[in-house]
Amino acid sequence: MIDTGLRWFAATLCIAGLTHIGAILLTPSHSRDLAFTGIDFSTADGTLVRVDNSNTSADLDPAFLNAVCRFDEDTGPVRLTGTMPGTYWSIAAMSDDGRILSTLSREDLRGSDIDLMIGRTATLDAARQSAGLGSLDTMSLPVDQGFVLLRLFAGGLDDRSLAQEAFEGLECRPALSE
Amino acid sequence: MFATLRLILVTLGGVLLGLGSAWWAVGNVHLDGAQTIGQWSVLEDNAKANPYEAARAARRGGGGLGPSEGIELITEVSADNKPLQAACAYLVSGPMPQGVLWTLTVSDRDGHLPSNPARRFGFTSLDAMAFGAARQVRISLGREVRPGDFVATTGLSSLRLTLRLYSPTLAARAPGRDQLPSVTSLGCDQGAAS
Repeated sequence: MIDTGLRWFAATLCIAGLTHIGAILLTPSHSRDLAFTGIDFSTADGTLVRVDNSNTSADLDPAFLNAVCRFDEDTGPVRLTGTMPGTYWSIAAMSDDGRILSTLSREDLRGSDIDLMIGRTATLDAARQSAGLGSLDTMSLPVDQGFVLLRLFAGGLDDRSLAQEAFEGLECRPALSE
Repeated sequence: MFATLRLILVTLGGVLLGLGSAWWAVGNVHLDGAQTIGQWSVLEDNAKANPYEAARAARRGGGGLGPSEGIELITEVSADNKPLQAACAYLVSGPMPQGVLWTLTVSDRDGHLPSNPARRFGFTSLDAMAFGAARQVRISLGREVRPGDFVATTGLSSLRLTLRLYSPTLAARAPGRDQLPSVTSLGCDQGAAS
């Protein structure tokens, strides 16, 4: 009787363990809070889409002006161009499940003008050659689709207007469309 | 008949236990050896090799900081290790890392921001008052307005403080306990919290 009870108890623990492992491993790909997948990019037309707690569940710093740009198999690598503000800024490439794949901040680039191509490693060279682009900064990623998240510090009124001004001048387009 | 019923109960119990433990594990940053500095826990959204961190990042919806951006610290407990409660007032006081852009954000455990007319969700290194040679901060938060730097926690059902330090140097070498502020209780609404 005890042996039978122990067997059922062991079976319960085995099922619990497998369920636990499965739930942890499947959460990133099946999370209902996927980073920015609910955002409408249809009207973006070469611009970044602003994100805050009204249109994303992502845990973003409210002291920043945050904006995203989508890249996938259809767009290929994207090219981010414009002039960054004098305040702190950073760029992060993220997978669909919100994991950060690569980052770049003000300290990594000289000057405020930015011309950055972001995409899967294998497609970057092809895009650069076919578009006839010379040397420009690249962000090589291990995935074909995801998001580019731009953070511009906007903690004070002056910072906010500088961030807004820079945001309006930034473009994020498929690199092969030019 | 009895064996079938027992099989169903065991399977159901196992699944519920597995899901419950997974939910608890993802919500508990201390479980899988996450780095802690005093009462602050370091969030590592870029720890791809750790499935718990990946699940945690997905549940938070992403948006964490990468290695060349800085580090993100959270606390949901006070200095005496009691859970922070939305019905209570707290004082965030002490030093902040010098020469670094930092932001302190008040939210609930799901990341929802407080609803206050001033849209004041926290403070930054550029707008917080700093005292003394060590430039210590004194930021109070609660439902009743207090003098000095203050964040209203109106509309929150739980409380979480997120301290983001925008510095690649600090991302590589986290600040020490003596470089971070502590969170102490200033009291609670009568009857709202024990």
